[in-house]
Amino acid sequence: MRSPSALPYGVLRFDPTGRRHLFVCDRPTARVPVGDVPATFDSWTVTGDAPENGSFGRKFQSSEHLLEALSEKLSKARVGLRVYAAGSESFLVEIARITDRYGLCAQEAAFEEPMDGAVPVLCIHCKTRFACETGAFATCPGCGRHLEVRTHFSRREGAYMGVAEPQAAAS
Amino acid sequence: MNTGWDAIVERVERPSPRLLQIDVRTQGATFPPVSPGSHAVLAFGDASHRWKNAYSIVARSDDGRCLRFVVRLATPSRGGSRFLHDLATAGMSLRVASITNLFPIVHTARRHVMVSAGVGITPFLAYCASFQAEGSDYALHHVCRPDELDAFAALLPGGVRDRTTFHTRRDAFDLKTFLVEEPIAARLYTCGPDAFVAAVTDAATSVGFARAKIHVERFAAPETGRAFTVELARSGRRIAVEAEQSLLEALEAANVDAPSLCRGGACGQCAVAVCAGTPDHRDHFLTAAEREAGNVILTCVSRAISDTLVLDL
Amino acid sequence: MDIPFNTTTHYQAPYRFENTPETILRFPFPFGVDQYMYSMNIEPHGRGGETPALRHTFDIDEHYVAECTEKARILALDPERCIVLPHMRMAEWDFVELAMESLASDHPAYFSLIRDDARWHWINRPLGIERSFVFGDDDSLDGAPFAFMARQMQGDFTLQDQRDDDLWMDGGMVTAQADWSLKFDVGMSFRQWHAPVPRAGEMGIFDRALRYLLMMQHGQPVRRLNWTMTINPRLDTAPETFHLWGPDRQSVTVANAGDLVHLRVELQALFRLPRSNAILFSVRCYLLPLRDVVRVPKWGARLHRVLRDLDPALSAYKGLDSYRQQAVDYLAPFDDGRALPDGCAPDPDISLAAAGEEALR
Repeated sequence: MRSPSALPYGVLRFDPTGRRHLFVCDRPTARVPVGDVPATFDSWTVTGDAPENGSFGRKFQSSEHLLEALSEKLSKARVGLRVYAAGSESFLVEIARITDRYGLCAQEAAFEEPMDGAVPVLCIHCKTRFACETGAFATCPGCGRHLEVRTHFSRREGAYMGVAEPQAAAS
Repeated sequence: MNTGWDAIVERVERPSPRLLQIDVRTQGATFPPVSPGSHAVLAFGDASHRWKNAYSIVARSDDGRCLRFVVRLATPSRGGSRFLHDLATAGMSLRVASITNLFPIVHTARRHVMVSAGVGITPFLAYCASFQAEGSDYALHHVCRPDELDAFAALLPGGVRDRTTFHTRRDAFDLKTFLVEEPIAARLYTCGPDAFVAAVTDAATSVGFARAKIHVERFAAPETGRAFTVELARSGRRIAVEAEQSLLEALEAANVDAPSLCRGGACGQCAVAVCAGTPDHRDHFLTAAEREAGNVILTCVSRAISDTLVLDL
Repeated sequence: MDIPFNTTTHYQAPYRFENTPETILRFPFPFGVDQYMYSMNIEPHGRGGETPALRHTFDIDEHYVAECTEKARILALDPERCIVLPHMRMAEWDFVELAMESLASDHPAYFSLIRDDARWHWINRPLGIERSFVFGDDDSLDGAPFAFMARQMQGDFTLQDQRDDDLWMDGGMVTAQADWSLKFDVGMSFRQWHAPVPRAGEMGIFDRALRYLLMMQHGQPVRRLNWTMTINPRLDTAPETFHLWGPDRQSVTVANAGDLVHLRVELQALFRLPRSNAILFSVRCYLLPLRDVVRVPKWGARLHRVLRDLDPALSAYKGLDSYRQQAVDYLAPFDDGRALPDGCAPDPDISLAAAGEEALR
């Protein structure tokens, strides 16, 4: 069971009360939301160096490009927009930081269960943020400490807390 | 434990035949600073009848010794607003029983849009004073009768008229044309009679406002209903609750020590355990499961489906 | 009442921390019965309580100057121990008003507040601070009214914004926390920041607690006691500095448990703030080494029983596992198994000799 502080992941479902819908994902294989498909919805996909990869909608070479475009769009967005996000946890937490910054609430920004295991970690000692592939322990690329990755998540930081613990040093 | 403030009416003004502006001065301790959206429960009346009604606080004086309210002559009236309209005059005694905020401003919102009808404007008079002082982005839409527009305009704090649109038809339809332009970060607040609030909510929802961003203050006076009997389990006393009277009022009239705070079914402080009988829930506080279980009731607004209700009092 | 302020205290290695007999007896011992489990142990915070530490709005004791000095040291090293989000400006001033008025009223020998409309004059004698400012004008308090005042108070403070039927920790000054990080938790909702606490979520305690707090009224503050244990008299047990204090947990023996193991009690008080409608959360931290706990016979015996029988999940969450057995073994000789009266107060008619005299026995 996920920590109560984690993002509220769930099955993406089109919200019929929305007026405009945007689906963002970091890979072409992500599934669109379930439910009645709205007459029009936009889809943004990170396709990397393979832009002809069978996806539709707007394509981005990297997550960073997509995130920048999302910031730009939300800074001018009117009421009625719904954003649906799918991808790795690192991708999803960055989407959440942007939707939070522009004042979207839970009904307006929804997040699919993360699609792969890498989690974003914040080293509480030197504040370096990095992706941890391996689960419960990590070495901080900033200060070199051996960290235990706790299940406590900060939405504002977009990361789980990494703390240098004695048993981590031993592993 | 705060037990309220003895007060007197300091000043009364009538911006229109059905609007009464009343300034109340404390006879004891100063009133604390008040967050916008707060209401006070005022206790007043005469030898024949006492009322305890909730009114939004429009303003608090800088020295903390006066609070301002605006009271609409309600029809049908359970008598309280009629009493104040007819008899409130400088020097009249009353009591400020409590001050609570069940309708606070959302401080993180980038823009605040308020939509009110009639006396529902009162919490927004306090909101707008605060928005002006803070330099916040806001807009007020007020629906009223054409002959009352000037009276309501006169109540607006300095600088607010420029951000206010008056609508003199009770038609929420043209609201959509304003709401659809709102940025996604806007929060919508609405206050007024139930039917109006429902229409505003529908209009907002239809242009895509998320439910969580629509903030509603219901100006609920307890509704009348069927008369019934309440029995107090601990003493065995039986008290008649008249059709025109709320359960809480009946208990208070019988000198029962029943808890209460907002008197509008929104805060849960008047909750009492039900030992027998079936409650008729009319509040905005209990969860669906709690209503279903039927073993608690909010006495300030709820009534009974059964002829008798036995309470753990 | 004249408190001699303790100025020899050192809250980091080499540690130095002494309590006078008066301080020991006024300690807010948290256990009223012989076993411990979470409960919604909220009660009104007014002018009453079983021990003197509970009797003021904000408690001041002999450690006041030393704690403020330690707080300043920690803030200089890590300024992000104090964060206030921009929309909490009004709450900052609510806090300044509450703190200055309470301290001046409760401890007039140490603090004075003179108000002339919006022109306020504040005097803090123990810290040698005297300041005139305009209430509500951020610039007149260096742009940081909350920080100005929180630095002059013992304990931690957080500001909770109330919105969307929830509470959000949108500001605070936290330098004496029990293993949580303000810079990490700032902006979290009630359930989010409580996520690491085991068991309580299952018990529905947080749902009930949140509903209760959302209805808090101005003028009716409440409090509860929380507890854990700390090795060495160390206030700063934040995750940020875990590498400094965490390893100490491995160094406890039965022989040194009396000096190293400290009962750490948090007096948590909650106040509804009037202008902002926010909730102020104050966490006043008290430390008592086991050697001082056992000088109160009832407390020594009761603490032995509480620790011996503690739910393992709670022991793990509170970080006690490395030394709980040593602490239990240290306390065991002070527990003769007799029935103890309910309640947290010390044994009646107890008087403690000064520490030096005791050691001669």
